[in-house]
Amino acid sequence: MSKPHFLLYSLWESFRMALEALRAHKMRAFLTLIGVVIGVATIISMMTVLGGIKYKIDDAMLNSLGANVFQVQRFDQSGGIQFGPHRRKWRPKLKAEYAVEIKQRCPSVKYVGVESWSFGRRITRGGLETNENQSIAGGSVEFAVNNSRYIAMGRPITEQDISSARRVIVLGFDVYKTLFAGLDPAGQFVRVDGQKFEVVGVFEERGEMFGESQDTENWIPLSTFERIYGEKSVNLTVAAWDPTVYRKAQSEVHEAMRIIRGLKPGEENDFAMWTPDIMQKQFTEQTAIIGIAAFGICGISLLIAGIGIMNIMLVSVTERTREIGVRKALGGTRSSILRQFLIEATLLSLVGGAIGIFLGYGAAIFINESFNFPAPVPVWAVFLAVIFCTGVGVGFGMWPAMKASRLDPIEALRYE
Amino acid sequence: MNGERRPMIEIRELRKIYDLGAVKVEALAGVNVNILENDYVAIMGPSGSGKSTLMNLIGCLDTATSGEYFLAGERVAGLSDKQLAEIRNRRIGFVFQTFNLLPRASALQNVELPLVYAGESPSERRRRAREALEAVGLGDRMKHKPNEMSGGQRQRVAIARALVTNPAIILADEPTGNLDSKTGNEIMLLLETIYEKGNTIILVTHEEDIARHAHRIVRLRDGLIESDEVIHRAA
Repeated sequence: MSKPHFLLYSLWESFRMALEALRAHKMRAFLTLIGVVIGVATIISMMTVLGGIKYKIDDAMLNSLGANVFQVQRFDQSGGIQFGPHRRKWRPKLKAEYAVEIKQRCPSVKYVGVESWSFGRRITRGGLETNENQSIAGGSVEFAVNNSRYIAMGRPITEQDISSARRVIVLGFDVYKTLFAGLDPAGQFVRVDGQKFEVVGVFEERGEMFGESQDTENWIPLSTFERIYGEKSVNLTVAAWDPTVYRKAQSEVHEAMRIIRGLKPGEENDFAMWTPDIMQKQFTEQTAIIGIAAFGICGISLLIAGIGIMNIMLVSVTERTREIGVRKALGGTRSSILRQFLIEATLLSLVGGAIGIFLGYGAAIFINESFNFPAPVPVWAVFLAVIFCTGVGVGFGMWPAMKASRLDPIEALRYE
Repeated sequence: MNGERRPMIEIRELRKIYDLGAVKVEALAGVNVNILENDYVAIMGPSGSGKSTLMNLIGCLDTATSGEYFLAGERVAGLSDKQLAEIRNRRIGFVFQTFNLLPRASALQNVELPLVYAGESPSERRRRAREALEAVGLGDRMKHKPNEMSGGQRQRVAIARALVTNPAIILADEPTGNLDSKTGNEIMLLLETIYEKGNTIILVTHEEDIARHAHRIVRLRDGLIESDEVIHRAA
């Protein structure tokens, strides 16, 4: 083209005309857009919520065990949603004595904590009682630090408590709230499964995750626990000296455990090692599946939306046959007509996309508020939505636009 | 004002055959005609005579089956779609019976449209469209939409649109066909003033009265030129 800014003027003009055409048929445009809106809103809100879940899980995982701590337990932990059957072979219990042996065999290990769990307990005080969701952990002195629990009031369980199997308890915040409601619990007594315990401390509050309280764990001496509940399989919480030897400590412990358990080379482990990042990985895999599903929904709505756009553009081309004829008579080329209708289709799709981003953002904010996720709308999802909408507009607008550009000007001018 | 007038349109043995599958219709059967610069020609003929076909070919909206057509010395036959579009844009101004204005656009926007395709800048477009509208006496109707104007005013907008690119030829197809006779006369007077400014005007009509405004009448019948007469109008 001889004129310097021809393309720019022509694009701007096409854009302006497309905007006018949409304005002339607001209702029709809106109905066509619903598919795009749903598709984009789905992808934006799902991506935001998934981002929020991931953030929350990462945060929870980081806080679930103390720094440089990993766990040895009898079975693999199943976290989140499980797909397919879950097989579980019999395995010998893990014993508290292993802790000493691991400490001896593994130079990278700072200390080994031992804990044994009883779930679904109820704790009472006089006429007051908690729900049946309380967990009792019989733990060694490392329990609090290995589980990154902090003592808000009183003191933790000590070596003396353990060596003389005292009936003392550090309460979770839920129990404290329910049974003491702001009173000083020090020296007071509670009952767990009929057994009387003296309260020596209270854990700091952790709050909720996914609507579930994180403050249901109560700590008693391991020795006391085993007298009441018997010798269960324990969990070993192993702390490495520092982050640089964290992996090394894991492989040392792995070796030590195989020796302790008397496993032959090639024999399958009859214990499980659990690190926070394993759980994270599981969750990441599961959220990826949800993400793919969201993309599927988005893809289907965009496909339907695209067909809608194609349909409306075909109607528009037919309605404006005469206009196309006039434009051609006045010097409009095939490519300028093609461009005009493509821009119109793309604009239609992008307007839907913008509404979708807006709605998806709204939905995401609502969900984030309700479930307390601190997650922003991911910029890449917005970017992707814009690219998708442009693709849908251009892709599904192409045929109608080509139809328009190929109209014979004489017939188009004669069209009634 | 005669003197050294150059030929604007030279047509040699122009044929147009429509292939309708079962039958072939010969709309133009070898037309020869020259139209000079600043000529004012009316093309007449009953329906089926080929006058519409001839007009479409002159207007570069269609291409001939055979024969030659030179527009201002340029050979039109065999030009691409894009080149034809450029010729329509720069050399020909169309005036239609049904005005063919864009309904949602203002008078000013309608007149700007050919300049959009010519690639003019927005400010230049506006300036020239204003000038063209003022020239047809619609300086006070620029923001009006077609449905806010009378038939005569609409046709004036269409004429302004035809003039705005300064084309050599104004091609008017039944320009008064949708107007009452008084308004029609006003439009014909407007065309006369355009002619006097030096444009070549080709008028397609079936009305004798309207054709009398031209200075030359070419009559078609069965795809051939039946007569070609120069009108000597009483001053």
